[in-house]
Amino acid sequence: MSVRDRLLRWPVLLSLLVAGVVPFFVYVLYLDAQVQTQFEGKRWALPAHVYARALELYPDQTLTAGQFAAELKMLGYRELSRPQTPGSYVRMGNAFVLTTRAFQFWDGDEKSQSLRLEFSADKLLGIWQANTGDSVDLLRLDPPLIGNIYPSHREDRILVQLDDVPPLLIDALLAVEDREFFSHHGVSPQSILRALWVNLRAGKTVQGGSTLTQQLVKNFFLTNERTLWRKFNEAIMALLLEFHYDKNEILEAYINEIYLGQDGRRAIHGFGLASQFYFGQPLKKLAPEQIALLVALVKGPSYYDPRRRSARALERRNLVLHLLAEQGRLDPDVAQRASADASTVLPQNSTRVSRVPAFIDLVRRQLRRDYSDTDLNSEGLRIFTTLDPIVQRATEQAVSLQLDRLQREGVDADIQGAAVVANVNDGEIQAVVGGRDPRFAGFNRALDAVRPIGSLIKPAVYLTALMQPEQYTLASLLDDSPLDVDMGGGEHWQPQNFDHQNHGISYAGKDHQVLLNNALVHSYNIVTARLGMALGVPTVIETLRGLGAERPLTEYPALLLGAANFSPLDVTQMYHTLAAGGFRTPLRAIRAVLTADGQPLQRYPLSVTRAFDNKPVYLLNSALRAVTREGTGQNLQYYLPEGMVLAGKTGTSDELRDSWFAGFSESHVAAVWLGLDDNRPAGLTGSRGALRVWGNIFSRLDTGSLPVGDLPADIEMVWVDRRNGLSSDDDCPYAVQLPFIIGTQPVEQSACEFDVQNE
Amino acid sequence: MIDTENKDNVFALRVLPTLLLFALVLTGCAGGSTVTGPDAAFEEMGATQDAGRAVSTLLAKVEIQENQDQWERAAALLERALRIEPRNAQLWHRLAEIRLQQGRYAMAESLAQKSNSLAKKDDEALKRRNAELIEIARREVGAG
Repeated sequence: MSVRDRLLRWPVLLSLLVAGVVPFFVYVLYLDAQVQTQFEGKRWALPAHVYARALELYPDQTLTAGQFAAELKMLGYRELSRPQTPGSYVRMGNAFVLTTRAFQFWDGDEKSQSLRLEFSADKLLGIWQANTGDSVDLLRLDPPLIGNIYPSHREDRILVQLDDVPPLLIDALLAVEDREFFSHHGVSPQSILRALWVNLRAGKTVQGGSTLTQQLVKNFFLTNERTLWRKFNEAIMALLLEFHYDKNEILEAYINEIYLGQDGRRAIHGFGLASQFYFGQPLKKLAPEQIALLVALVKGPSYYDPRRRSARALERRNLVLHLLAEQGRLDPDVAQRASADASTVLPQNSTRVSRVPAFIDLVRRQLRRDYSDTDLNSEGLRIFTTLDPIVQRATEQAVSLQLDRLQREGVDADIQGAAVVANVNDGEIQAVVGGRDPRFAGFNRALDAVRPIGSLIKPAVYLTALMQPEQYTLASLLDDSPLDVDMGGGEHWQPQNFDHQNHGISYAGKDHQVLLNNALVHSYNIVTARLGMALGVPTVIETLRGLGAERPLTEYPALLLGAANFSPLDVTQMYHTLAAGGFRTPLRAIRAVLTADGQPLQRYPLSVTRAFDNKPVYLLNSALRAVTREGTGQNLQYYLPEGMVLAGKTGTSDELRDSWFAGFSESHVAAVWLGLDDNRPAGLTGSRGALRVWGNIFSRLDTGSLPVGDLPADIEMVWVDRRNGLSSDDDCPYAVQLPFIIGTQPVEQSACEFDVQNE
Repeated sequence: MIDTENKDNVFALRVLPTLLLFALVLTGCAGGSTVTGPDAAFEEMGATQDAGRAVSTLLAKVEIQENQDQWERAAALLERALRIEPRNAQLWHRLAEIRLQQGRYAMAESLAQKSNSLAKKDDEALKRRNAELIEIARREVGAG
């Protein structure tokens, strides 16, 4: 062949190469990148777990045996006659014996303990060590799981390391799925031929020819199409995996990756979680028959589902045991005995994860400020929240019950509601209900129903006034006569009272004089508008900011009567500042975040800022207490025990579109909104609608009555004539006792037989 | 560190020197005490005295964490104690002290004010300690 001939052939060869080998090579590189990304990335993709508050238990605590039993049920504790394994209990009337689970918290570990608890009708009497009888001062249970934050596909797993995997599990996997695992290079022609032979003989598919490596690749890509092209891809990728990683790494990934069952929408991946899911025990503690059952599931977790197809599952389990014995990996006697075991698995406990979608939504929003979505759904973070399941349940029940009743009374069937309950002391959010169906994860009204709050805004106006004690006290006389505000451009604002009356008496030559205290208690609009304009709308907005309002506000007079939009959560924040005596604490849904292995990552500590002097807040709260006793909120008495002292305020927006109630006890603060999603009038005042829900929530809570006796320093109670605000004797028929900042009480004495006009 | 059997001993060991210190303060020998000085010992006793057993258990753990400079853990334990006894003004003061120790002066001041707002009218000792803490916090803010 001449040189010229050879030169002529080169392009032919080159084009052959370009046409065949190079694309193949490029394709392999592409597969290689994919397989490595999957292997490196997905091995560690763990969903975040979200927990409610852990129940603290101590002698004399207010807690019923029923509530405690509900907590155990929520935690998935099993009732056993001899409760010696962690997470089990026995109940005998008002007494419990249980063995708690160990758990890692931010501030330390709780060990597993065996204990006895005794309850009276409404209290926990005591806690004792089950063995020694020593009394225990404080105990903390593990926290209830309320949600998981998944990657796009809803996979869950508990990672295990190869060292923690029982050798029998590995033996069984090899015996059943891939005998040549430690000798092949990812694909085993031998296995394929043997499977072919076995299957031909049996006349059906008994064995697969896929190696563990191939199965792992198949699991990575989550497709079930059975084509030759996929098989070809799988084979190439299996070879590539074996090229990059050693056998142990591949085996460990397989053990953590393989799909082994379904729990509702949650996919159970890996043997670690499957062991908990089916047996409630860590993998290390499983008996041979249990290990064999898990290995049996590899072939088809749904087809061999031990809960629904127990006969089929047991048959395959025994095949696994038989293969183990046949290959000399398990003592035949042990295999024999294990095969005789007919007990299978735990009943599925789908209540393990309580569904509180509105609260989880809030948690996700708070977390997003600090974590990326990838961190949240792949790092296996443990998120400790403030949710109190007992308060949450009470709130859900109150919302559902009262909305059903309102509907029966003729209110629009589309009536919706939302509620937020927080702890007064530390600003922890204990319950969030985002709609009538608390399980439905849709529009979260607690956070996103941003509506005009009506008279709920009034406390901000009156607090602004009371912060100027030299000018305003609870006994100041204010003007409720008709008001006409020229807004310019020919527009006039003429606020009306709800009953279209002008209240108050004529005094000192002026008509419609109302005590500041009474104006708030009865929620008079005209007085409030006039007062607010005298104080200045910007000053009132400043007070709203101090209370914790963060939304944009329009600076116009209508704001003084509640033309300002807030969500139930916003309202809870503002009323919390009042409930806490003027100390502002940003409401929290999260206490702490731990890494997957229990290392503290971030804490969301209790934070307190003094926003207002406590004296004017005390005066305002005294009026808000009167609201629930004799004012617009007096219907609360139908829902709550006699003598219970609460503070609150009703709110109603224009044309009865929104019905609000917000208020607090000594320990809880809550806001409730009712209305229609499309903003049509719901026909409910705050008093007829939201108040009922609020009252019903508080009647279900273990909540503290507001203390009335102990006055803060520099405050004193003074008898005044409730008609004119002048000082009065306590035996005067119109005498009421009101608190004053010392030095601001009225000096002039009222004549007791003062003539009543217009009242 | 403190188990149930010898709790009484520990308590006696702590109470005696505290009473001695108290006597010293009364006779004016203690001089200008600081928040972390003799007053702190006195205050610990106060908090334990008023608290239930559950909170006392937590306070013992708070102390262990404080001794290891684990301030945030100590704070977390105090928050647990506050959930059990939210109106215990001593606990709010302890939390204020931790924030002061961490250099979070504004928070320390607010917490001390909160403690004051819950303090019993006749609890002059606590009010004085709160006032002192607020003064230190303000001074530090000024210095920073």
